[in-house]
Amino acid sequence: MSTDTGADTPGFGERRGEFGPGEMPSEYEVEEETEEYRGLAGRLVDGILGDKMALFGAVIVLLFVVTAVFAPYLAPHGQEETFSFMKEPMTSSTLDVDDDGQTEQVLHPLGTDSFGHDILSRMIFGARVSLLVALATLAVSLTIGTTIGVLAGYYGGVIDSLLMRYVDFQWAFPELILGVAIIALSGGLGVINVIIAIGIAYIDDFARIVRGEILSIREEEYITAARAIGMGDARIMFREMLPNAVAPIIVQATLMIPLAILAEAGLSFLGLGVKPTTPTWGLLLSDGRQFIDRAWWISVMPGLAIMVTVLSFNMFGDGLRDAFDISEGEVEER
Amino acid sequence: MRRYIAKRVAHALFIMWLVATSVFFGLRAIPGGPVRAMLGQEGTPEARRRIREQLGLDEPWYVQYGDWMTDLLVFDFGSSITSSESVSAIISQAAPRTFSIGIVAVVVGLSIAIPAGVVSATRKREPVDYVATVAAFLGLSMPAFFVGILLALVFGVWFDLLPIVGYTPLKEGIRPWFEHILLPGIAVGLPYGAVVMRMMRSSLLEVMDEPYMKTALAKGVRSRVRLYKHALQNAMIPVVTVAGIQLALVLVGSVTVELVFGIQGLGRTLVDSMIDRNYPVTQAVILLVAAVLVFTNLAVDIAYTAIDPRIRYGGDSS
Amino acid sequence: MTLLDVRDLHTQFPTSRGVVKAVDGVDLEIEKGEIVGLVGESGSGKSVLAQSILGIVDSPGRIAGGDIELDGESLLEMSDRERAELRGGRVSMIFQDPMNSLNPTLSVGEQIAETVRLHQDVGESVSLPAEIKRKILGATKDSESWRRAIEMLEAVEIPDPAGRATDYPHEFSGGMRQRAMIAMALSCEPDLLVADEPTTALDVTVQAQILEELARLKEEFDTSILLITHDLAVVAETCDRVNVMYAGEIVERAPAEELFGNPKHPYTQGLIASTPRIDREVDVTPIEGNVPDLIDIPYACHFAPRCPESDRECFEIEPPFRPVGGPDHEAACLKRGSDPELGPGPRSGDASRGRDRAGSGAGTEATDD
Repeated sequence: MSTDTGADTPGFGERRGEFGPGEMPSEYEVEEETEEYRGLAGRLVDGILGDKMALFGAVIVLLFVVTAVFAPYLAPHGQEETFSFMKEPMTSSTLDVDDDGQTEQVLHPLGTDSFGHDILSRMIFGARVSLLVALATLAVSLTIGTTIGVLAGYYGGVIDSLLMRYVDFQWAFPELILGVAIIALSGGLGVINVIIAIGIAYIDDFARIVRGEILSIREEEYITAARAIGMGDARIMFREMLPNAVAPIIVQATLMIPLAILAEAGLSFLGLGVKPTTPTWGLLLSDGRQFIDRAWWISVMPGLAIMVTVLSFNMFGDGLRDAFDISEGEVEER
Repeated sequence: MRRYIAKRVAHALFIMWLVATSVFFGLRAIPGGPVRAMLGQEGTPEARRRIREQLGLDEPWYVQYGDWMTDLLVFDFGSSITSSESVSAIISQAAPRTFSIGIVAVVVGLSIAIPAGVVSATRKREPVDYVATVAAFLGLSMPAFFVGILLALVFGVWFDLLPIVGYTPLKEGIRPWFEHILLPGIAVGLPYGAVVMRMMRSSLLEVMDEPYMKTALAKGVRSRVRLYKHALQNAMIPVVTVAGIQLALVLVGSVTVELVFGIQGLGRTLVDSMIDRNYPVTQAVILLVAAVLVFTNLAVDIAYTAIDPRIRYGGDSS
Repeated sequence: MTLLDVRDLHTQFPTSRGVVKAVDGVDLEIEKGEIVGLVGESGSGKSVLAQSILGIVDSPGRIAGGDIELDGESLLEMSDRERAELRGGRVSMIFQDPMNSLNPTLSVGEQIAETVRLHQDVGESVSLPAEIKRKILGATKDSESWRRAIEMLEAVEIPDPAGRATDYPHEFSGGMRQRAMIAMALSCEPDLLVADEPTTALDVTVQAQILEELARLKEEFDTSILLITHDLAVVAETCDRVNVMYAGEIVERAPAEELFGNPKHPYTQGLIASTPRIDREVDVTPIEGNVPDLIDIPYACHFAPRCPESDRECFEIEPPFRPVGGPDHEAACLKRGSDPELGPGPRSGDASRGRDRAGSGAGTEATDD
């Protein structure tokens, strides 16, 4: 039946039809969907906007930051102003605030504590301290940890072993205990000590992540090229490699802030943290501990604040990690 | 496998040695000297002399170091500055309390985390999963001491179901011991469980995508058998890792929760010792904590040999 | 005797971008005792086809049309349970990646024994508690299923089978792991073995061994094999007949020698022309372009955009299968095997197949005796 015997079948490409390879009638032409290149920031925004939980987290984080920055303007009262003692949330103190012989009603949305401070105001100022401390500790652990990681990853060998031994060793201590130890050794309380203590405690996480990134980047061709043209080590490390390792660092940083907040809260709660007059959330919590049976809100309010803030940073960080497409194993979290 | 275990043990011992050495030098590195740090200005010559003797500060440093290490090996931590009790006595009073909290926490945390993680993974994207995931997020966002406060509030103050102050040693009865330890244990266990649950869920999800699960499906293995016989053990490997690492969380949590519930455990002891500058006690607690962490992680490493045949039976053969 | 008859199979994956038609109207037949090859590049849909036969397509994929008959019984009309019983029993599958296709936490022997227990009557329970017990305590060495497992390891020529059965997959080399997989797949003497890229992940020398093994075992266990690969050399070596698949469709089928000696469809020709040869100098001509996105291809012949010979009609009319070249050789191309009587027509259905089916159909029509 077939008229197509072996002999006259053209070999591949020998015969040309109307449309050669890659050509087709215009009505079938499909626009190639090329994915537009979105820079890092663009991808991030897309990723976060798409993920409801991450978006929620991002919004709260923003709120937190704004509150912290503009605390003096947002707080209804000063952090040391006193009113009636232990008022329940959503009740008012009736007293003469402005010395004019007349009494006013002052609303306390979150109640007052045992000294009569308005809790809402103290918490707003507390946000500020928490954020500052968290950022400061982040700065410490990020810079030192990243540097260690870069050096270890780049040079390898003895330096790597030494640095990683230190990191391993530090790993044996949970942050709080290490923090306690450092505070004990530095002989005092106060903000700086807390920052140093917590900052040092989190160095190992950054070091490990950065080292991992550097180890893989090190094998890339553009690094060999840079070396070949005689670029100095420091320059390669910080100008070429580091910018490409930025993504996990950012994710880790975002996940570290809540850890720092928690650590600081813990230390303050133990009475080992910030000096007693600055109202950090941890301190506020600790203040209220003895009054749980009479005035539960003194502790619970700052506790809720910690919880919401930490939660939102975690959600945001998780979303960031998904947006950057980093596997969970690479970034350490609480 | 034996080599693996030997290596891990050696590593653990090495880390402990490092810790002990750092504590030793740390104390002596305090500006002004340890004596000054501990007694401040008010120390009587008598007290000063006692401390100098105890720490052996007049000896050359290597003698001090040797004494220190040998003392440690026999668990002689010296005596407290403030009272004249031996530090070991103080610690052996306080430690069981903290460990009780820790054990309850781990049991509570894991018994919730592992089933929750499995259910969450097998019913991915169903309502159960969403609820569990959000709950886990919440759980790990709350510091243990806050959970403790909330629990104390609800179960102690509002509903008066359980005691919220103090501790009863086991020998005075299991029931009172349990009643006192339950709330603190749960408070510490929930955040811990939350972290473990997340890992259980994500690990199981990853395992279910592995090629060998497809093979099991192609063989005709039923779904429940696939889950429990084929998937679970593989999924547990990273979970065990996390459960071990986060024991640090349990320790830290216990320390803070003690304050909430008025329990005289290691946490209280530590804080008091720091306020009093009672450094021998501080040192001892730090060492104990480090030891517990290092050795529980060692236990986890050894647990791997049971879970992962690749570790049990070494690498590739031909 | 036809063992497997795939008819106009459509397997699709609904996605947010549209419906991916991974298998777009495929007919395939496997006779008893044959080794049939299925050749195609990645993206051709061959793995999805294989998984459709077993009924293990990843969700959200689903079979959207057509039928699959095993020994005359329709697989798609079976209940899920019946289908599941077939897997590993009458139809089994081996996969590409022996490294990761065996469970690292179960001994090799146990993985084989499990298959035996599931499909053969050895009087051992396969309930969940029983299986868990086996996992924790280890398999019972004197059970029938264990004995068979050792037998199978011997059959695939693994040295010291009794000793090796208690080993774990990571203690085996790549080639041995693939043999173990084959042992597992053949342990219940299936009628059909579907082998999805069984040698791709292996060293060349090991490849040859495995192929030999498969051919030998086919004889020993009387199993038909569907061998899926992108490697023409593998197919040429081992298969009786070959189907060439492109972008969800079968484009050519022929006995192996005929296909390689006398390729007809432009795609097949292109494939062969782009394979470098060791024995003589040839110009290696690559096929330009890329495999199309399988979401709703608007034109008729899926290969047309890359085909040097395409005309407008190729984009508009579904090319039917036509006999070309030697016996039992068909290609789906408007530019091949033109015959005014057959002409372009519907792709599936008996009329355009040009095989003996019409003849045998008539022969088996009910007649008065």
